[in-house]
Amino acid sequence: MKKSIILVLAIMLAPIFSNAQSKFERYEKMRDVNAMVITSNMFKLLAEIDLDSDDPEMQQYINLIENLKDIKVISTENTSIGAEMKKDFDSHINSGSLEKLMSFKDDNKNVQFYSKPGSKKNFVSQLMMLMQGREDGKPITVVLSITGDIDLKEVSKLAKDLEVPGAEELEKVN
Amino acid sequence: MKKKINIIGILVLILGLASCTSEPSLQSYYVDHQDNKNFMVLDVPASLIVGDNSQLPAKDQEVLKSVKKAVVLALPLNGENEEFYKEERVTIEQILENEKYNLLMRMGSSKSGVRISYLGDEDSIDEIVIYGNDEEKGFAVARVLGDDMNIGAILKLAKSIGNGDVNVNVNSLEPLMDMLGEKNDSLEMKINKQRQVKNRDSLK
Repeated sequence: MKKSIILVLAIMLAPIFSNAQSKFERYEKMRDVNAMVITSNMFKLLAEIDLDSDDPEMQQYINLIENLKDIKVISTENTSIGAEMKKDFDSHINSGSLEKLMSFKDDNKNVQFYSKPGSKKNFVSQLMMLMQGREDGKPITVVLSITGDIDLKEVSKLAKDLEVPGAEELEKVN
Repeated sequence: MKKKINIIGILVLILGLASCTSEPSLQSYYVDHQDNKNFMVLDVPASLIVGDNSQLPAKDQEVLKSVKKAVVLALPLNGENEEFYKEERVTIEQILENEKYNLLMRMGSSKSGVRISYLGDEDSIDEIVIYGNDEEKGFAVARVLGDDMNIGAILKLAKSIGNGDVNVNVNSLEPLMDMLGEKNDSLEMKINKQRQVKNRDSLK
């Protein structure tokens, strides 16, 4: 009896979780939205390049890359799409049980980081960032999502190397 | 009852076969469109793409040999074929959505963007597909073909394209090539940086 209740619950809840991803996917098709997606296929290949490295620091970096599932970044200068993104971001945070990692504000940027707990301390399974503000005099909204087994210490380095918007902000997480 | 099952079985079989044969592939798209006057086809042997690599270590040269050639199919916009471009763009993007094209990365917007994917296993890649689109210039699909290509070969290839080593004598293709090169730059920079770090470390 108990089992069947759990099963029914699981079936009912499944679409909520799968919805969360597609919620942001629809933005990728919009005209004023810039998107970047890097998949686990890419990370696997990238990790292969330096597999024989003896440097422990490099090795750590490779470990991070190997354990990433994907990185998605969407950004827009369109304020009404930006407002929609924020709404979806907020509802995703609430429904997906993400915890606030940090947030900060300076003159022209408002940045929030949320994460899902991962396999061990300092590791998260999902990292999401919302950045709103102005860049080069233009309004900008950026949503960044990284999934996988993420070492918080290493991830800012990767974001910087990939020139992902929000990389500087990510560095402040540590 | 048994008959019913049989009929269903046959139906499933027919459907299965039909979906196999009707599945559009890049290969068939190339064949269907290479004679179309709106398209440009470019067959580039690997030797032309990667240029003279005799200064490279033998090991690297071996790796490069796994790449055979690149076939580029481009639809440049000429002011008259916009409708055609729009239709074909949808078709080609649908083909590339197919799961067998393992997506490596994509970036850009619906106005212009790049998508890189591959066919095969991660250890032995049979084909790399680079698709670039720009609403003002048109689109191009490059298929890089080879046997068991490994990542080193691919990245070197990408680098030689980015460095402008490609001596492609078709002027109208250049903007498209530029577009691909530009978008690849940030990734290359990352990889180069990684290399530099590694080289520096090995000198220590």
